[in-house]
Amino acid sequence: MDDALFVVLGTLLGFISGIIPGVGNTIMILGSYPLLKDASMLQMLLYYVAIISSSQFSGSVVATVFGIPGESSSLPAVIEGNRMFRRGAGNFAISNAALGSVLGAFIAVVAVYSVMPWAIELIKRFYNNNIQLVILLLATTSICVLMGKSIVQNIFVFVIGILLGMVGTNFVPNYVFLPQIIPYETFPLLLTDLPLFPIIVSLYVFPVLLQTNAMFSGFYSKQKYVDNNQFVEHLKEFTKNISSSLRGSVFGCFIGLIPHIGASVASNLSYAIERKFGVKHKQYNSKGDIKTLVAAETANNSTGLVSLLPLILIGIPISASEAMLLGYIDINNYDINYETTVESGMFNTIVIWFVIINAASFLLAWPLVRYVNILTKINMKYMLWATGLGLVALTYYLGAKNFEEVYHMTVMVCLLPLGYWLRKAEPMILMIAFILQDKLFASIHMFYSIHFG
Amino acid sequence: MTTKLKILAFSFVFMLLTTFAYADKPILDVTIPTSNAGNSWAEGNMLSDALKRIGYDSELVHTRKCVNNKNYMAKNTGRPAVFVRDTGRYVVDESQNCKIEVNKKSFINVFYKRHQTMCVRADEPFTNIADFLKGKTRVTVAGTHSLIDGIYDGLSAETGVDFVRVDYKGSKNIIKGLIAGDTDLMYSGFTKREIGTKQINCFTTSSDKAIVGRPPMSELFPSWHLNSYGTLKYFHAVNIPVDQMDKVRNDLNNITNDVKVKPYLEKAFMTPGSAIDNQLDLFWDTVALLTGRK
Repeated sequence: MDDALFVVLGTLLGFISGIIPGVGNTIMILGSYPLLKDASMLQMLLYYVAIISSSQFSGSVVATVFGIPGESSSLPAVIEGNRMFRRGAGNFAISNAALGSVLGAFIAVVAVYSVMPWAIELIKRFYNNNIQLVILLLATTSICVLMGKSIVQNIFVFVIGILLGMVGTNFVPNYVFLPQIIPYETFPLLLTDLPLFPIIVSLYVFPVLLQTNAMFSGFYSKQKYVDNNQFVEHLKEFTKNISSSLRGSVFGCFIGLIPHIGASVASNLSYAIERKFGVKHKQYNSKGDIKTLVAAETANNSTGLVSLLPLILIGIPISASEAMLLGYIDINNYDINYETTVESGMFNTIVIWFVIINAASFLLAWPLVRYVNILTKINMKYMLWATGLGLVALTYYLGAKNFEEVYHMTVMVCLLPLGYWLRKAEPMILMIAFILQDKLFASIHMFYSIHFG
Repeated sequence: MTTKLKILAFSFVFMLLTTFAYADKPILDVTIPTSNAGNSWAEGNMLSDALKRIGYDSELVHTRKCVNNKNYMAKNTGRPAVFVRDTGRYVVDESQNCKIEVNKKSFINVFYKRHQTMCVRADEPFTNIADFLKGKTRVTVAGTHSLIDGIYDGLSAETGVDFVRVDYKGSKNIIKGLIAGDTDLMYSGFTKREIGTKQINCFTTSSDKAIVGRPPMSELFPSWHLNSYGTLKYFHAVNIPVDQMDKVRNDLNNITNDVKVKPYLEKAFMTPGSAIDNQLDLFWDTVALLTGRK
């Protein structure tokens, strides 16, 4: 029953995170800390799966109606969906994206179960510290190379994340970082590491809110959402586009494993290929093309479960929201690997819920979508900053729970100038570097000890 | 009498009754200055339940880390407590400047002494330590990061084989490292986990006698100074009034006979504190051994 509660809450909050562009899954998971801090690992994973699945449905609605991408994977919905919306076919854009998402999710389940035995056998035979180090290096290098505009800037941001992660006592290798420079005597709490929550609020949430706030400047929508068609008509329309949806699913299942940008690449690549195909066969509609939209949205949702595999099997996150989830799992000292997730049967439970969540999200989104016009009356900027203030209050509350409220608030305030600068960079890189620092250093140290110590 | 007054009167009587019901129960919380998972957390829950069984009003307080624990101890919460810590953690906390002084007043007694063990992979053709070391110039040993510097120097000197420490964060990862083939050997506390994991073979312990066919380390490595080292877990007093100290000390000494605690200790062949003499002296001896001051 408790597990179901986490699913219901995750689904509802995922809807909300999709509705507020820029807030996204990462910030929603961050804000869910009080809920997750005493949760079991299964509950955390169910909650996460519910959020990432349901936010896809509401996210594409907002991208279509507002023309603002919640995440970079929503860009095709912004281009094609919004064009369809402007010419009065927004209802078909939304319904077909949703139906494609459901199909994509189901195909992902089949794909995951097909590769699972093979993946586990591979891990059992070959996975050791050497392999882990290679994966960690690949994952961390790829974020510096694949994201943002400047590799040099990315490396700089990555190094800052690593340095912040090193502050305090490090266990493997066992040392205190820069004891001559950092005033540990005066502020002994610094010895216990910088706290995760204030770091994320200052160095991820704050710059992301600034970035999103800038997107809303000058935004205004006159167009209203109208749907006078029956469900059967939407279904008939989708059957015409099912081949695009299937192609998108295949892309999503394969490309979802690319660290950090899997969903974005899968969605945009599916879109680009489908568009090229449409142009070649003179089927592409330049006033909003439904086939390209369906392919992109299906690919996007297929990646949801697939991208979770590295975290579930070997405990390595490949997206910012997964890194956050891993942070919570680490705080609670749960062990995440194929033994605790797949062999314990937990993964089957997650998959069953994943299917239910996607079906339920679709059924929930269908009647709710007619109320989307209400969103045009809400000032999204206020929503954004209310979210930010809520997280500041949460930082204080969580600090106070551990008798560290002054420490948490001080860390948060001191890092705000850095957060302000990060609005022009990729704050996700810093966060992933901060969270993975101890795993990366431990793996490097162990590699050295095993081979050269 | 109106309904509101009736409710008020009932609430007052109920409050009074519950207050009296708890008033005669002595308070003794258990604070856990580590994570809320793993052995320490499970032990904290077990102890708190055991204290309830002998009539205490006991809650589990999770302070997570040494600095928080120190802050908690400095506050007058009105609830006396014990915190449960082991000698290894004491040494590490001290080295990281988180000093919580142990003396005759703060040291209550030893909860248990746990043996150390050495294990190899179960598929290793292991018959005895000499065969295992034969032909090797280097052996990698998985252990926790909190082990003292130069811990295996004595072993290397005695055997002529270079024992290289490979640190892991948390004892559960040590077994994983051994099974994955990262290391040749592991050195860890002898718990239910080490005994029950089929993929590993724990061939010796730091006990002074053989345990189920496992010879003592003192036989395998007679000149290694840590061959009889075992972790001491002890109770540290937190705001316990002086007049209650004797009762608390006596109750905690007997808690190793509790219906849940006793089998827990027996399964991992741990020595209960009640069976150990001169406990504070043993504590300082163990600390000295760990820090190399002995």
